[in-house]
Amino acid sequence: MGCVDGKICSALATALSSTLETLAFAEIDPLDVEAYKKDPNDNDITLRDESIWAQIPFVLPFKGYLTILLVPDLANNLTEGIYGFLEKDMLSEEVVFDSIAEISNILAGQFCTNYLGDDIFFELGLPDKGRTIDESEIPVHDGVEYKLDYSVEGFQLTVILVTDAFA
Amino acid sequence: MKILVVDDSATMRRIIVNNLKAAGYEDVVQAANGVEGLNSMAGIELVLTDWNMPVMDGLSFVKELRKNPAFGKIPIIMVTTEGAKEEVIEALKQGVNDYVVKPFTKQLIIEKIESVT
Repeated sequence: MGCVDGKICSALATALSSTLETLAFAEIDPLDVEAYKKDPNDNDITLRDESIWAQIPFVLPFKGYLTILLVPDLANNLTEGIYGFLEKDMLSEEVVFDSIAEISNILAGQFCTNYLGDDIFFELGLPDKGRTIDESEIPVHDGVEYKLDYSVEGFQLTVILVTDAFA
Repeated sequence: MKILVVDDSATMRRIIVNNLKAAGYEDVVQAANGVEGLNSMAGIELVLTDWNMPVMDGLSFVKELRKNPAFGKIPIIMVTTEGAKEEVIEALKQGVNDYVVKPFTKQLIIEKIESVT
């Protein structure tokens, strides 16, 4: 399911924009993946094949998960943006995973703040992360799923929200 | 001024340390959770701590610090994703001096440091 709920879409886009711009100086745009797939000759976006992913649980006031998936090149670029100048040999998988996990953590927090407002207590769990070429290997959870695609620096970044709170 | 940065994310520690060093705060010690933080307090004059961490979270870390008279008056700034009013109030109750919600700008974190020191 795409972003059919305007409040969720707005809360998430604002959260992603502020998180990536503040942390890594990266700008985001909504991305229609199906349109790009229909016309591969006119495709200046690198769509996901292999993915770096990070997933963070919502603990309170609702249960659920936020997952981000992105191509390794974008993960590397964002990590370099966060760290500033980084020697290539310092750009280890551990550093990249940690950066993407921290982005998911901050994104989830910003999303909750935007969606719930300042007065409602929320709690997040600790992030999980990994690398895969098969999206089905990423842990899945019960609940209504919202899958949103963005373009960041010419690369696809996908955010998946799963929770019963928005049913 | 000797500053302790406590966060389970090496990335966030790096961001904070970079911001501190750019502002002239060169003497910075790092810890990955509250337990490591408690073991790193020698000579510390300011603490920046995350809330949500494994092993010992930031709030428990602050409680432990405030129990010890030697650390009772050291300024503590909570740097975390949780920014609802109830959480801020709880953190302040436990002895946190100020609060920064991620993501933050360098300017904001430096202003917060200057306001508590």
